Amino acid sequence: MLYAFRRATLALRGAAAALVLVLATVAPAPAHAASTDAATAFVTKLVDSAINDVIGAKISNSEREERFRKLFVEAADIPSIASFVVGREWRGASDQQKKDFIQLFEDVSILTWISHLDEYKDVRIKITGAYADKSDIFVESQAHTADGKPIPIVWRVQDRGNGKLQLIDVVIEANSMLINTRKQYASVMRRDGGLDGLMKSLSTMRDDLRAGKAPKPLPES
Amino acid sequence: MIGSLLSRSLRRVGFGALCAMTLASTPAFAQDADDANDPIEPVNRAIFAFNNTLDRYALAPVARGYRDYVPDPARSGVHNVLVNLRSPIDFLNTLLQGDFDRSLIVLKRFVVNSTAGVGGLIDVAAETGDERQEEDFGQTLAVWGVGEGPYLVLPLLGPSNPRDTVGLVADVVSDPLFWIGTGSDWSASEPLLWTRVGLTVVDNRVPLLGPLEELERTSVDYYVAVRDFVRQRRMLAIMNRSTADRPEEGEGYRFSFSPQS
Repeated sequence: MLYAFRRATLALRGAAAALVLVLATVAPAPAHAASTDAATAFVTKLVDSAINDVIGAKISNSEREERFRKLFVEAADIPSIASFVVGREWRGASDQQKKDFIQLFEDVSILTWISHLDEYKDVRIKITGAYADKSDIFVESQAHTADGKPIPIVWRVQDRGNGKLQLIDVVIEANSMLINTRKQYASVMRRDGGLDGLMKSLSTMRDDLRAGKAPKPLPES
Repeated sequence: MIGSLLSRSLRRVGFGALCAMTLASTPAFAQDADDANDPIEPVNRAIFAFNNTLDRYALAPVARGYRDYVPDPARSGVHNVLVNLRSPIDFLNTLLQGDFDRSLIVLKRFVVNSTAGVGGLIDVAAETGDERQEEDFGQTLAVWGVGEGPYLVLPLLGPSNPRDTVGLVADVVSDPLFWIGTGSDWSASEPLLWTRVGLTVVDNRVPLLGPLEELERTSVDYYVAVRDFVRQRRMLAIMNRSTADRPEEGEGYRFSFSPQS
């Protein structure tokens, strides 16, 4: 039990990449079958940019946030990701709520990642393979950290046509971040009064992250 | 003191407790992507918070000290010895699952590592491709068709469920090392047992130091994040799947995803 638990959480060690992932995306255009080669190149470029231009670059924190936001917004269709992690409640939301939530989700994703960059400095990601379903390409990689065994990370990519690829999910040790996030949000919405309650929690998280404080999780029922 | 009492009574109750718990185990629950499977969530959250507090002020600091002040060769050696000592449990459960190929691997590892590996200090077998086959009675029950039952957070022990709780008790009492020294005057048996338990707890905690902090920081609901990860991980362990294996289309992380508007 304890070691199963340990293995489970080991997955998180690759969370550097995970963050990039939570940002995943999807656009409403029909999916096209893209080559696994193109998807591999897309992920390689994304990871390289994150490591070289954001994590490793000697720049100010605000510049770093700026660059990461640009990278994230370009690679991912945040509105689609946001709607997926909210799930059922999305349909009943007003346009304004949706707009606010998407912005909040983008901010929290970026700030969470940006606020602890130091810990990802030594992570190296090596692409090991790729395979495709009808509309998705799964690019497989291994994250090598300073200590411990390499962590398998899978990048889920969809083809939007005209050679445009978008990241949808990051899977760390077989755990989909999209699903994990959706479950957390479902729980918060159930206990804290729906989408508004979730947005309140997320906006507290955003303020804390901006202020440099670690967000407080909600362990009590 | 309490520990020693506990161990003594555990030994005495032994298989009786095991049988009773097996009978009490609950039927299979349907699995659903959005099903939390957590009917006693408020209780679980309370225990989770208790475990976390204990961890924050006791276990995590000890694990941090162990990681920072004990040199790595020593820590690896301890880890390998602990893993090697678990071989009887791995062996028994591969047998119970009818997985005799893997029983052989466990046996081979145990022999090679106990001898060429200097009493288990070095995992020589892994270097020739015989990786550890991690099995336990909870997995065996699952292979036999016993459902997991609802999610449970156990005090001190952490995330589990009725099936795996039964499995844990079975693992403890079916471990030959647990019984060494019982009924004799060998006074070192109890301290040795508890040294092993203590080292196991710390050894398990060290690789989690970074990841758990990370998870706690990045989640809006840490409790749910842990629950989901543990459960998915457990399913893979039962299927003897590596986390790097490709799932079937529609399964696991290959769920169908289409954007909503």
